[in-house]
Amino acid sequence: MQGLADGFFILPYTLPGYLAGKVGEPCPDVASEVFREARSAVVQRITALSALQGTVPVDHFHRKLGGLLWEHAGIERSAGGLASVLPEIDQLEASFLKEAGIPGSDKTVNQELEKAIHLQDYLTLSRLMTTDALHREESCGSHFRTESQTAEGEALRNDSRFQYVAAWEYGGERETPVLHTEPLVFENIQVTDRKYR
Amino acid sequence: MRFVLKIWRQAGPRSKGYFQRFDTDQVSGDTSFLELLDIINNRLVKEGSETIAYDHDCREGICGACGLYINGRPHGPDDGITTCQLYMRRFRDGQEITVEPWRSGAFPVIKDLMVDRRAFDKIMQAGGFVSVHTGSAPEAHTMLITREKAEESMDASACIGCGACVASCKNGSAMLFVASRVSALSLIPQGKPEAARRARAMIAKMDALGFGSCTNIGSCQMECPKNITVAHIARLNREFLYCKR
Ligand code: FES
Repeated sequence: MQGLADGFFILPYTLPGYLAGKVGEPCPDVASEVFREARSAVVQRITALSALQGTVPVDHFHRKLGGLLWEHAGIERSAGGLASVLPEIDQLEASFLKEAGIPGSDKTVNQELEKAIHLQDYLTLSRLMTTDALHREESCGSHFRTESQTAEGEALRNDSRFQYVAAWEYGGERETPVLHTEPLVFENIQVTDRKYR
Repeated sequence: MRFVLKIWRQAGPRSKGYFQRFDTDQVSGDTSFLELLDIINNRLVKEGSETIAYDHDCREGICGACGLYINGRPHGPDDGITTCQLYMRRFRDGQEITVEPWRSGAFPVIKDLMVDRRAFDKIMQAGGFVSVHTGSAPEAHTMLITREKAEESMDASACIGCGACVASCKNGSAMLFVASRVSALSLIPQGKPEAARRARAMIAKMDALGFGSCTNIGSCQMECPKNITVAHIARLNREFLYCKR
């Protein structure tokens, strides 16, 4: 929920698990190519944001984005609603880059700049969440896809097409993420439906 | 409602600070104190001026980030709440409100209303934990602990580490903070074996970091948003005496 309407989320356990396996390994040196690349990417991003000359506070765009996702990509979603969100996210990003104002410098604590960086992350995340929701044309878990329901209005899974766990690979800003799937195989139980009536 | 705010501005840890005046109008009484700061900040963005830096996170009284001195009191005029739980209806229409950061040597100002409270983390790292794995929550009846003790430990662990106790203390002492941690753990079987060592380590760290000593004034208990009492300081002192034996 917080991820949906605010863009904050809790890292999955897989990440600390991955990092824990690296304890004891030497850290990459600050002179290394990887470090310098990462650093210059961050500096570029901050410089671009600090140059924004508008007068609209970042909060304004953050709230709008939260509202969009809440409306169309929340617990209940439809193909039409989800498809309409993607161009709206693009539009919102364009007006953010045109109208947002970030006073102050990037050399001291600057909370407006922090907010802008977070908003950019949230824009990326919101595209991914919407893409994923569009892809899964079934009702599953706590999410209800309106096209996928029984005659009584119960959630309808589509196990023949979607019985897998999925992870999306980030391919870079504005690149389409790549889907990786792993089938869910149940050996000892029969998968059934839960009824809420 | 209408308010005049005098807000502490300070560009950085070593800069000279000053009060800046902000006039606000048409504020709803249901605006929270932090929302009022947001309103002022949005106005500043429109003008192209730097916004007021202040800390906040949960905005529901559980994280301890939002501590401010409001009209001379930590977390404002009400008892038992944090700054984020304070609403403008609590003030008089037209009232002048002075807003300052925590004032204490051990919490240096980072910018405007934002202070560095990492000293608390360092005290915690010195001993504010149980150093063996005790597993997940055990079956309640298997624990040799009375209900009264469990409740008392729970009261102490309500501390959110906001720093109001330090900010309100004329000595800048962190005794109530340390006491709440020591008390919460020493009252329960998992934390008891290390109680004395913990008290000694945390007090030594507190002293080393420049917090003052306790002279039993009790302003910390008056200003604690979680109503933690100085009785826990008495327990901390007892544990400390034990560790001297
Ligand atoms: S913002 Fe978390 S306690 Fe106030």
